[in-house]
Amino acid sequence: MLTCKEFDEFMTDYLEGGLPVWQKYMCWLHVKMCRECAYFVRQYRRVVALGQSAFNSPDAPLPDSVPEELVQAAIAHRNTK
Amino acid sequence: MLYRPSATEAPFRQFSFIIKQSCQIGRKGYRAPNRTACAHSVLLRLHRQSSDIELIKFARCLIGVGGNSMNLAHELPNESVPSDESEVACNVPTLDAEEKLVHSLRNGEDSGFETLVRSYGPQVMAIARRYLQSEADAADCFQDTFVAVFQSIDTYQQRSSFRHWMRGVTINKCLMKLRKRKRRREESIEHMLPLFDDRGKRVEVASPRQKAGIGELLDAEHLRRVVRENINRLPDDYRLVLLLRDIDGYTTREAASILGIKISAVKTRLHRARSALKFMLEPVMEQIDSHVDV
Repeated sequence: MLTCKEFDEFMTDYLEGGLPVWQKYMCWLHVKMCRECAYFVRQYRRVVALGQSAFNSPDAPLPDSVPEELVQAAIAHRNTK
Repeated sequence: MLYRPSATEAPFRQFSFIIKQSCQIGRKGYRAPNRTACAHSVLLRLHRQSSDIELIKFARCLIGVGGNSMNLAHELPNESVPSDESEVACNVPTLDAEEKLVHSLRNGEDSGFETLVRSYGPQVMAIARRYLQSEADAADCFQDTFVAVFQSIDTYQQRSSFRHWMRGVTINKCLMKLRKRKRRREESIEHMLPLFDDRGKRVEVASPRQKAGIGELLDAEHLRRVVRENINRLPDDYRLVLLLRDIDGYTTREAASILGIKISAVKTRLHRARSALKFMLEPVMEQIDSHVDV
């Protein structure tokens, strides 16, 4: 069976489905057998999801609205080029 | 693991509608990571709108299973989804409008440029702020991006959507700006990475205590801010890989090409960035879990 350290090296590929079948199976087995790694994987996945929702949020108000002066400056800037 | 609410309960019908709606936006224009992000934004909205412990539990299960929220959305009853997808707000032009815009830009029309700046301004500004973390640099990048788009519009070959192409141009401008800029003082992440004993067994690493109260953490916008602040704490080498891969949805190969590094380096940096972020957010997640488990 893989050690936790070996599993950690394969983790990104394992979670993204980029491993050959045998390695994938070894990783899967490790997660089933190792409580610490199972917890780590669960939290790791949550972190990825939290990161995505922190920036890509269609329901958020528009904090990225652009000041009108900046829009005008961009238009003027183009005319000078 | 998956929490299955009864679809006949009114609040769940409301949220199942939102999830389905998010997924439909996802299928139209987003890549897989952003589809998941759509669904997750729904869950964060849920935290903001509801004090119902069942709903919070529901959200927590979805957050906990990551991409599986999409599977759940497909299992929800169809009657809760309106057929009119036009209800979904969208800031950028439709494909038809995009074609017209590209046409007018190629003809050098002033009105086309103004439409471009007004339609894509928020998207460009959001990317610039995310990558540059400085309002002044983001404003410079904003101007440079639109001029670059206008000057290189003939190189746009319509193999991808205009919006996607615009995003690529913006990110390139941000990276150029970052390379020119003096490197900021960065915090080492070595102590945030997983530890192993002599036999290769994982050793638990103590995370710092969480300062925010649970009330604040259940506020979706506050939680998003906490996550963003922690991502911004990462050294640029790691932060950029994380943004390109997890937020902007580029593949490992694309991210390697954009950053001019090897694919193996992208994989290593991404894993280290996620692990460090996990270390930083662990107390936040534990606090949310302890509240939901009550």
